[in-house]
Amino acid sequence: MRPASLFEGLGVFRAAPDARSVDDVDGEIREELELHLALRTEANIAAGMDPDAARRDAEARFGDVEKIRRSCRRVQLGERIMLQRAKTALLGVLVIAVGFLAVDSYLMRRETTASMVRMSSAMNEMTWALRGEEPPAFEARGLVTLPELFASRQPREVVIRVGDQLKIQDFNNVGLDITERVARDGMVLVPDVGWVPVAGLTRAEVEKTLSEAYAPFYASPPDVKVKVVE
Amino acid sequence: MPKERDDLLRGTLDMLVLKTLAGEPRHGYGIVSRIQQVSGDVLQVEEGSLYPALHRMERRGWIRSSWGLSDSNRRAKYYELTDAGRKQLAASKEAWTRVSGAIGKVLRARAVGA
Repeated sequence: MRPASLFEGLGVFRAAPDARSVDDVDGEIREELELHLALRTEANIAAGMDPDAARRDAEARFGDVEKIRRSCRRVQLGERIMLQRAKTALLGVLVIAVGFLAVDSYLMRRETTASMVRMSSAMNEMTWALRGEEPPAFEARGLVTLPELFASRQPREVVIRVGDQLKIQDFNNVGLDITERVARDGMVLVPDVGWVPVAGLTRAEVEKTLSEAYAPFYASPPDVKVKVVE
Repeated sequence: MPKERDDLLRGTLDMLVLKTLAGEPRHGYGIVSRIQQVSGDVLQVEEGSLYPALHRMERRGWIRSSWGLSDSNRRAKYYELTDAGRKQLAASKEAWTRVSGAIGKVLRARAVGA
């Protein structure tokens, strides 16, 4: 027998929370109602009714069994059912909120990436426009790295000849950005350094020669690039 | 006013159940049988409606239940009165006596000028 609650006598406090599972409560309700029908049926049989009539009479006296079962269930589990519904609703709201934030974050990241690609592409175009050259036909021009950005499409094995028009730039130091023609003696005139022999050398060799020649003039090691423009 | 009528009937059923349990613990069928027997079959409780009322009164702390064995050796849920239930029964009886006495006075009164 269940012990009485400490405060039960005051008639104010309810009994302690029900620790039974929902299945246990449902089972007990069904068992209790079924016992009533069985006892009434037995009493009817004892009073002379045949078993079928006795059961029908018991059910008629009892009323709608399913409706009564639901009423009992509401009384016993009403608070728990409401709490469960509140929990389910709260969980639904949380799932929707998390989903919304995830989608929002994804869209924002995608937009930021697209903006960076557009910006990089614009810088690429500006750089090549300043250098007066056609931009490289990279598959993803917006995603080129800096070394790729400044790389020339011209093969580095191109041999410089007398009469070639050369564009000479130093990408590590501002100030050197000239276009000079190779003289008949195979030399080109560059600021500060003077005449430098270039005819018969490849672009790579000329770039290395000029980078070394300019090294004493700058704090940062020069990175001279040469391109035959004419 | 259906709501008031329901409340009155429910209050009456609660009182009858509490009174029936004042003597000894009974299961639901035992409570119905006892009310019908004592009232000479005048009070016919709709048998199924007893159970939501029992569970409600248990939640209010007026009665408590425990599982035991019936006379026919079946598992049955027995209800018994708590101290809170005894107080509720006393209050209900007092209210019923007062109301029924007042109704009796009205019914017994002679018509003015008769």
